Amino acid sequence: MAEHILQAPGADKAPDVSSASSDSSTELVNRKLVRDWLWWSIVWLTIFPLIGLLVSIKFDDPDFLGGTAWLTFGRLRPVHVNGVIFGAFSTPALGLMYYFVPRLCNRRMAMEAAGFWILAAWNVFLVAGSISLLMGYNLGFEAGEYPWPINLLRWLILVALSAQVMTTIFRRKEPGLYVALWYALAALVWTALNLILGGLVLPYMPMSGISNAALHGLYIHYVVGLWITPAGLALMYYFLPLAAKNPLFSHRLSLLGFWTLSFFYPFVGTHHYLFSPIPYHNQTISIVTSMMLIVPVWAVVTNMFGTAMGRWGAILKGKDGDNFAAKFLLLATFFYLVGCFQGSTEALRRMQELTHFTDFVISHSHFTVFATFVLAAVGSMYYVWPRVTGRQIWSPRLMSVHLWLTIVGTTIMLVGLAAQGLMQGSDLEDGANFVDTVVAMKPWWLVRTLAGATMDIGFVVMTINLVMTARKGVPFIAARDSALLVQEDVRPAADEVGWYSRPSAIFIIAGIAFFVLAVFVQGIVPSLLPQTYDPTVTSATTGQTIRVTDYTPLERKGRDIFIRDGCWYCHSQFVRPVTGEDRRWGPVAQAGEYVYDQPHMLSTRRIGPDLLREGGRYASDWHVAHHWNPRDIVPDSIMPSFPWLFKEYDGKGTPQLNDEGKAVVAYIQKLGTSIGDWRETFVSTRFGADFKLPAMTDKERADLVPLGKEVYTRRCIGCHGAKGDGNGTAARFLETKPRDFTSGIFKFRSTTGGEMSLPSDDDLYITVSHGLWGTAMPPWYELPQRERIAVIQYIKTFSKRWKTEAPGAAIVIPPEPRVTAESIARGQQQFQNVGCVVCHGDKGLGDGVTANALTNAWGQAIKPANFTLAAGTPGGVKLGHDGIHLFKTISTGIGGGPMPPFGTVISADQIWDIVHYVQSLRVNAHIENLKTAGLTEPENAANICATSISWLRGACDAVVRPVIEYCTEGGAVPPRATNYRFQLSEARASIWSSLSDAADHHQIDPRLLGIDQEHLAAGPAVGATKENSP
Amino acid sequence: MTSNETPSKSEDQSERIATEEGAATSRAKSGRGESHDPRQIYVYPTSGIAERSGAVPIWLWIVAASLSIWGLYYLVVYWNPSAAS
Repeated sequence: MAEHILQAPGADKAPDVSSASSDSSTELVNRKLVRDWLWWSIVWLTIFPLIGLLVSIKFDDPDFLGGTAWLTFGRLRPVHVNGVIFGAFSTPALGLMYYFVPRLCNRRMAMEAAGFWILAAWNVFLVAGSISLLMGYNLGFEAGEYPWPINLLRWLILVALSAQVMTTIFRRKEPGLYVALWYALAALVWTALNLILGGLVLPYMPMSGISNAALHGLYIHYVVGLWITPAGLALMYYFLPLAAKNPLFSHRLSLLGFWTLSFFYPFVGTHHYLFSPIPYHNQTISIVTSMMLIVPVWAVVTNMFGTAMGRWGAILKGKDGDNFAAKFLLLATFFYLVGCFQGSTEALRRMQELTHFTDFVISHSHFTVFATFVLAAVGSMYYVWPRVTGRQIWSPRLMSVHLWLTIVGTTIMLVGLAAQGLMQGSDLEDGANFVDTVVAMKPWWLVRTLAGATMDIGFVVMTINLVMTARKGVPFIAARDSALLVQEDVRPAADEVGWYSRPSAIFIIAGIAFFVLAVFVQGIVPSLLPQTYDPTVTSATTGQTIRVTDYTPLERKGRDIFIRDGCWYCHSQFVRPVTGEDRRWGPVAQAGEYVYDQPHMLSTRRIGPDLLREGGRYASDWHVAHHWNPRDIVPDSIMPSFPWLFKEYDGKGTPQLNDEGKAVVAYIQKLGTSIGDWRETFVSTRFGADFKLPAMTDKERADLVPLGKEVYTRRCIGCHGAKGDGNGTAARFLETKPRDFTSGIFKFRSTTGGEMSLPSDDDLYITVSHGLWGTAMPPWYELPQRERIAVIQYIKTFSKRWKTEAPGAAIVIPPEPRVTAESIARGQQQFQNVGCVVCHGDKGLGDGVTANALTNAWGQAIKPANFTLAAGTPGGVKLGHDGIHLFKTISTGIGGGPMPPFGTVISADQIWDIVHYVQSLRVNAHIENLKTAGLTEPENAANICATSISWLRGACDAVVRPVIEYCTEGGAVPPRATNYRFQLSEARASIWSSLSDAADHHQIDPRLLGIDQEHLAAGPAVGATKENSP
Repeated sequence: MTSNETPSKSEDQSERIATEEGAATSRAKSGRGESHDPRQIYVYPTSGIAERSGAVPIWLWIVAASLSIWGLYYLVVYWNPSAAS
């Protein structure tokens, strides 16, 4: 083909391409400046990925570099992420601008000398930024963590460099504007705007947590999509044609790629928070635009591979710097194709259901940031290094080693991360225990570490090669830098310049207009919708709207420490309505819960469990043990220890939290409590009519013991101890001591035989599944049924009682009678008569006369339950206020505790009366909580137009309000009941129905649904039932 | 701080004029009314970069059109969660 015939320079028809020799054009380039930038690029390309390796090792060895706050995972991880983005990638990307911008503009870089100062300042920014993160200065935004002085420095540096680049472009002598300059120009404009978004708006402009998340989703994707991507594409577009010695395949593809990327990319960032309370339509826009990115990606890939057409053989066989540059650039192109297809499809809702929070996300980020654009920078460096040092690359063999280490390491890492992410997501969707899925990931993480080490060795090899090149490479005589081997009929590029490839159009339309449009649509408009800023939530138990309270000063301090130590890199706070998350963690997240969260803490990773509903799951002393050494209490945990949250410990006694530690625990205990007492009914304490544990023979029970031991070793041993005597490694931290199984005494039973009766398997199954509120015993409903049954069989092996005795017959529980005011009144009387008040107090607050003098069978102090407290509150009931459970407990007493059985003392009807009375204590307390939380109307769209200016109000009502009503989910905001009495009545009905079988079946006195107990006689109230309650 | 020699101003000016004249000549020769030839190569002489005018492959237009149709459908059907279910 004519295009591949070499032509002598000075051909008549064509412009003199020989003027494109390195001699004259390299004079446009300050070689020392570029060389200095690339020297530092080599440094950062080695250091920041190495920090990633250290971080990766922690997944398999959580105590690696442990014990020091500076080196904890939560502080090292942002050093790695920001370091590879702004150090390993951005340093060469910026430095190489000093090479290709002057050459493409046919003039030296404007204010060229400033480039040395900019480099110095850039290095100061990287070092100071990294140190600030290690010290714990963290703004709490992923990829936006640097504190404000560092952010400001970075912004000023980039603005200065942008001024150089833009001046050079706008005053260029080359009339044509090559595509690399489009991307470079746009990247700088976008990044200057984005850094204002991330450094100023996100942390300092007051807004709700959901608005914060919406804008943060945009910000974090702009870092990748509107800085790294265009800056990297600029390198690829410039260096691949030169390295391949071929013309760029298609100018038209360049146009398609650039303009579709510029339009679609700014909208995609919301896909980081799909299934969140961010308005649904904004999420949909992000999904559509994420998929549309396939167009620019395939345009670029076609362009790159097309450019290499006809030259593959020469490139693959070639051994000089140019050919290896082409190899790296083409490898980067391949990873761009795969990685971006992965990214686009990852934005689809079904894919996100499985992959979000998993290592699939990490696979994608490494596919794009590292495998595409860092490798593009590497390839570009191999091309430029000989030209700025005047020496050929020292060792082709080392370049080959680097290439192969990169191919092998990168492929293993990226494919492995994607596979493990899909695996974990699928397992979780199937209902696997979360910690079990973490254990399953450990071998994959080890492989990831080895793969990362391989890649890092590649950088070391590159460093050696480039250093030796500069010192000992043979002189490099630049061949004519030309992307042409043929010049038959060429034209100057100026002939092809349309308005769409002029710098002003790029600056204004792509750089500013598209960016501002996307931020407005995806960030600002959602913030105007009441659902994102209304400080109310729907109460989980009653369906009523209640206010959300702000954090206390102690909780806020704890939150600051949570951010400082990077807990949010592992622990999300975001329960999605998919893949059974609401069955695993608790009710789905509501927008109002995040109203006081700036920075938001939704997070994008779940290396540890989600914490949105953590409050009240464990007693605070569990968290103390957990933070001292997580593996004391959860042997499979990979969470690091946090000794700096404790007072200085001399090895004697039990470590004590310091003020910071107490603040963190207070914050954790607040999480998830805004939506009310959801935990009361989350795990049932009764078997439904269609549920029964499988009947088993003695042999079948014995066969389960080995499995039970396995379960016990992984889940129970930390508290209950290897010998089952309650002396596990974490026990010293726990106020309520773990049960000593060797005694064969258990609290909750439904069997006859007195207070020491052995429980049935059903009884133990309920306790294991539900957990014991207010203690360190968590619910284990996530474990497969078989494992729960097995661990029960193993627990029985600790006590001889199980060999010599059998559990008594089940007590008879007659059907619950109707819940009436009279029943409650009788119950209150019985509460007095049989002596419950002696321990539990007159009002069931656990403050009876003997309350402070009670001990259990082991001589440990024990407090009577306060029946008014919400689930999980220390001092409250341990298995809830369910009527059946209360009946059983009153009948059989508390094993090993001071509460005797009353089943033989009073009749079943009397027991039911006491049950109803105890339940009424909780119902009334719950109603008081709701009143305090202010059952209230949600703000609706009409408030948007509140103004005293009548014409403005009219216009707003006519235009703005209908738009906002349409945009809110499901159309117009539905009217809520304005009748306060009706709200409270409905709330009572819901609460009673959740606790009482009889109430749930409408067997409840309507007077009990009145507003206050004192007004029971005031006439019939609304007969709301569970079915017609919201 | 720089170590490279800077071309003199007159050399700069000559080069600029030559480039502009060359460009003008080429434009005059090529004319703006000529139909687009994908094989036409354009050069940026100083940098040595050349690019084909090229075309967007038909299959990519098909992909773009298909995605656009899908995108429109998805945007409408999944605008609200109640409409989608």
